[in-house]
Amino acid sequence: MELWRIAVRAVVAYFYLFAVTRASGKSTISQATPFDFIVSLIIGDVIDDALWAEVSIAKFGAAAGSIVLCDLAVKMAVFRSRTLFRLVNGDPRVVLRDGAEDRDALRSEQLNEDDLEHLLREKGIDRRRWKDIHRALMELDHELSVIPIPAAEPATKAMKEQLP
Amino acid sequence: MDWQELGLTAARGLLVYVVMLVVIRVLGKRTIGNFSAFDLLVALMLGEVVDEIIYGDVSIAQGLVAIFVVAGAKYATAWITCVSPAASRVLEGKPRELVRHGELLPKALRAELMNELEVMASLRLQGISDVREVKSACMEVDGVVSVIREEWAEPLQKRDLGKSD
Repeated sequence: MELWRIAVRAVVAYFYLFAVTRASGKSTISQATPFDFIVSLIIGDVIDDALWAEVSIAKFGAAAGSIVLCDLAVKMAVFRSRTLFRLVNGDPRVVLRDGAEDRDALRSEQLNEDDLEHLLREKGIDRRRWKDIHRALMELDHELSVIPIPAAEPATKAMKEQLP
Repeated sequence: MDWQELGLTAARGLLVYVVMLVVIRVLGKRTIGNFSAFDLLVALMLGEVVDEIIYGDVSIAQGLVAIFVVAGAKYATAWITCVSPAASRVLEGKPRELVRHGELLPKALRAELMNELEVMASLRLQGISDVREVKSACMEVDGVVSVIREEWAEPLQKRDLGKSD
């Protein structure tokens, strides 16, 4: 195949993807869920066959368009219905309560105690400070959130004013 | 232009989307979390097999077998890693301490192929510019450097001001 055809296909596919991702309202990857990440991989995956002319540009358009439309439809449905939201995204789960890990909850997240220790270490909390944790939750974006007990909350400047 | 083929392509795209949604959901949070380089690889594998399915280069059945086998293998390793700490150490590695009580550990740095500039950079990302503030810093299995501060370098808490209410 002539080289300029590859160039033209690359440009067409690039701007087509640019248009559909913009239309689907995805401007940032930073708040993406793991599933968003997979969708991006799939779309990146269907484009190469179009570049090498293994499939027609129209077929690429149908494939990428169908994936993006599905994504948009699911996003809208999930936004409207709380039940669907929980079905698609799951629930946050408390894995540590008042300094003690909840083994059943950890197990259902496919985590063990080492994993929890590791995730908390990355937040600067080692084992001896677990007692300062009121709740730790595995959130929907697969991040651990940590709520300290009131005594271990950060001090504020306003409190300094009240010191004797 | 073959409209029927385009329609079929779109329909296969729909199917692939739904299958992947279910697979990712069933695999759970561990799968595509930021756990290890291998998790990312599995995500790439899953994302990479689907174009042949969508374009009809392989049959739907063949494609589904590939997806389910990769997902199943991932589920199995995640399960083994979860129930057996020993297997977890083999499959995911274990954390290695890079800094202890303000001292860089040269042996550990060599083992992780890191120099002190990189360690200092990861400390700065945690807001630490003086290595003496560090009680322990570890290279974790997901490639993140975790930092535990010395007691005196920890931020003030409410109880430190006598306010524990």
